[in-house]
Amino acid sequence: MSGETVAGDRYFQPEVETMARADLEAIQEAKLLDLLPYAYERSALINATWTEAGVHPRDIKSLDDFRERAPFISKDAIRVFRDDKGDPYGGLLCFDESELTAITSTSGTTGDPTLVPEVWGGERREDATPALVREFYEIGTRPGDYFTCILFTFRGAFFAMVHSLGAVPVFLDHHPGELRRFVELSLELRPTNLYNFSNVLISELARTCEEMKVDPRDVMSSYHGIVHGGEPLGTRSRKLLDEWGVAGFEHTAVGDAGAATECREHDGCHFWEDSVIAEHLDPDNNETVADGTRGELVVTALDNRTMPLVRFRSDDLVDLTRERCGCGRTHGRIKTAGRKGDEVVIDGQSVLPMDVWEAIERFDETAMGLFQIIRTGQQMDALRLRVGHDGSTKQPDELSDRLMGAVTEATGVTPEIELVPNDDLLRLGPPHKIPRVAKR
Amino acid sequence: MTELWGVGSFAVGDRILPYPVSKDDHNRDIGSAMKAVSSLGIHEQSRALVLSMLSEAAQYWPVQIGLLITKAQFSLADASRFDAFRTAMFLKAMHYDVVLGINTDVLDGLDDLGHSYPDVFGKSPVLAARAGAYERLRDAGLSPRWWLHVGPTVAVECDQLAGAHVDGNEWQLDVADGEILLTARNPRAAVVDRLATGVRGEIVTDACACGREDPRVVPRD
Ligand SMILES: [Zn+2]
Ligand SMILES: [Zn+2]
Repeated sequence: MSGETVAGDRYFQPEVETMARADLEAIQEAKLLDLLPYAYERSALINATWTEAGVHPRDIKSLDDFRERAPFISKDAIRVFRDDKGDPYGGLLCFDESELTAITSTSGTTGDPTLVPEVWGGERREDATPALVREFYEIGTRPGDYFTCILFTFRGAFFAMVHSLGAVPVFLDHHPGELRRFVELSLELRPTNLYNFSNVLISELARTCEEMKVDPRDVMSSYHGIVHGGEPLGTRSRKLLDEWGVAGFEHTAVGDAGAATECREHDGCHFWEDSVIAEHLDPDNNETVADGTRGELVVTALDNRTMPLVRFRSDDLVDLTRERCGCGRTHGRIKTAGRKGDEVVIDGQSVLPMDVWEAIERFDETAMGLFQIIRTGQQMDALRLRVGHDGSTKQPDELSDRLMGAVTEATGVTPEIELVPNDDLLRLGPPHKIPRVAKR
Repeated sequence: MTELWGVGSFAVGDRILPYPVSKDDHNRDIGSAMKAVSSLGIHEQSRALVLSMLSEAAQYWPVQIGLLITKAQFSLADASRFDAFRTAMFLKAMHYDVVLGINTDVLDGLDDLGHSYPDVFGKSPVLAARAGAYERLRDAGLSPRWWLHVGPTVAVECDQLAGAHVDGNEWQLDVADGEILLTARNPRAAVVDRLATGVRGEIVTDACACGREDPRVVPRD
């Protein structure tokens, strides 16, 4: 494979990426102490939350003080502020709306999209932003490379990062209908990196290559890797990437305060601790849980002066470690387990979408892995699943039985299965993913 | 040739063609986009909603830079059936002086959601619509302006409603058998020489009452 990169040349900013933990924390502390008075003065929600807790930024002199005393901000608190005060930014915006250059939005697959206020300084947005640049460099992007951007428009110009590495973006829509062009352009231009793929696109690409009578290994041969995000890759997608000889790099959100991406060690997604303080707490008692175990991700965005989140409870359950990674980086890593709001508990047994995924994908008729957990509350009498199938079975009852057996084996809970055509679920799109939890 | 800015695309009829753009091309395209933005009446403090696809970045990223330079505020939604809900969401949440890039996919998506076009777009004074969407908005009783993709460039109708301007410094228009042909006036990463655009219409070269001397396309149904 042409995708090998030199092992010694993997850091974009070697000093920051491999810095000693103590130095990293010194950067965090300095940025935090600068951020707190700013956010306290300008963000109505942060001001109200801290006032109610009887804490003032002057009380916080260290990261330890912060962890001990700073109050949390929850999604609910933001929602309540938004609805009570008619403020679409939930009291977090640090200046007048008229000073914004753009108002974008979150993807909105798990509910209404939230507005994201942005300040882009003319051409400044095209400058290097260390975040995705370090990741793309690690995967192997170098000046002069073509870089496939297969994405939506609604978050703005992420491709500035591609330009700052001296690479040339190739622009495609994140939609199965674009995969023919993806194949043609990959064969012609031989890009080295891709941002980003999803289960749906990987599955559809297999079919497109078949239809076009091209070898997917040839299509993928120039790629050092492909970044996939939105939701974790299913077993079937991982198997396809293996067959095609290309590495997948998971990319996940860090609780609305940034993103985390796998390095070539594929042992968790690095988040950049010079731009975010990530805590890892027991959802029930707010104590820090042990390194390497599962907890709720709580984030503070250190570089955001527009709408900073300070001790924001993400509702995301993650496994988090700060052990030095095999790649040599000292920044922490997370593995996403699921969202607190997606969890159902049946007779004391916790089930998240990730727990049933593989059981569903393993059958040909349901290989696209399209399913929803029906969830009316956290505590449920039964595990109810709506599963998409490709219509090829003549005996739906027999398929249901197989699915029931596989899910029971995976979760310890026997599910009730409702089969629906794949298209019914895909229609709930956007094309890259479907809501994994439904109220009915 | 200067360094490449990116590889976008443009459509001719149902065919999507790759469209490499150099950094020089891109910088000049920002100039053309500034003219387009101004023809739509966008100024400092205006708010615009931009509907496009990432494959159209060669056309629409210059527009966003043009909006930034103009100091207008803007929001972004995909010009797709799936993302039509986002267009509806923005237009419900805030006032937009201009919605640009409206296409038939977004209108199909709004149909799926059971929204009427006057309900969604009625409060925005300027609706700049692509071919197909223009007619549907007009038939729904709205007064759209042309936002007409002509090969790799976009022709934009000013408030005179007398045809859609292209940037005459960059593009030359010809017509053959009623079809608009497009030629790049300056060297570009992509060769555009009497490109049959699939757009049917006439060309007007007189100075427009809006003050622009750029040639106009008057599309024919
Ligand atoms: Zn690593
Ligand atoms: Zn005019």
